[in-house]
Amino acid sequence: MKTKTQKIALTGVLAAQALALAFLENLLPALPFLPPGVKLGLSNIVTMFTAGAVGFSPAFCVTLIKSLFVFLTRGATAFFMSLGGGLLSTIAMCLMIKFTKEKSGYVGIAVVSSICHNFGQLCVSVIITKTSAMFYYAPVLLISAVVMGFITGTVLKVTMPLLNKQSKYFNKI
Amino acid sequence: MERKLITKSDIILLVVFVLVVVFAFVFKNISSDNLVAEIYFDGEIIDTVNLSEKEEKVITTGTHHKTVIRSDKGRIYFLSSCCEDDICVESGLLEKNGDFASCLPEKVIIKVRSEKKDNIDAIVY
Repeated sequence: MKTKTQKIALTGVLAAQALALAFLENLLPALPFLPPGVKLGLSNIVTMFTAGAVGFSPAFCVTLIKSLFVFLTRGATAFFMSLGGGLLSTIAMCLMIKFTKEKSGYVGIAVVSSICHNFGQLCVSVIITKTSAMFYYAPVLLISAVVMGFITGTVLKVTMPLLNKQSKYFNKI
Repeated sequence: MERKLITKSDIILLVVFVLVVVFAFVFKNISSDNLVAEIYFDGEIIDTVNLSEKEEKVITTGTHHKTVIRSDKGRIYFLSSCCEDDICVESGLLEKNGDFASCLPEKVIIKVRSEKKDNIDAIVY
């Protein structure tokens, strides 16, 4: 990364890609074998790349922009769910990237951040409904996070060369 | 960021999480006698339905009073809600201990639990 401007421009593009992936995911029909409310979390791929290759604060920017977009399109409840999950998962992935150098791979980071995402959402839903009964859903969310994290981590590894190429393009401008 | 796809510690982590889930599901289904469905609105139980006695009931609740819950034949489910997602309706039939469905925009939760907390008949001191 050369200058601040390049970093901002790249963050903007990555945020747009996160939004596009989130939108694409909403277009997919709900698969019958998936528990209700469980999604792939494709935009997490972009957030992880941002946290790993651009920086931690750009990653938080991408998360916030995504949540604001959710607020505009799906309303307040969805916004708080998105924000709670997004912030916690971004914090988790930043900590993982910073402290687990060689020990964890893409799958590890993705799984831990998905679990934190779901846990954040669970906490927000407990606040919204004012009942701890929501924690009944925790095992379902945990296993979904493991599976979805495995998938998104693998996709990140595969798309890494492309995302790096995109970042290099911003250095040339 | 150059890393491996998956490392040894990742695999250990995954196995631990999967085991936790397996245990949670095993414990959830231990007892299933005298099932009671609790309906929460805004943090409080507004109604209970005895599923074991196959109680039939239709309950309308929620922030907009448009969330319809129905119970028949020993099961309970969200019939309809006025939110966009319909995640609660997709949750389907709740009939086992630990089954759970919620409509967040309407702040409604259904939780099925067993009245008898455990399988211990008596504790002698």
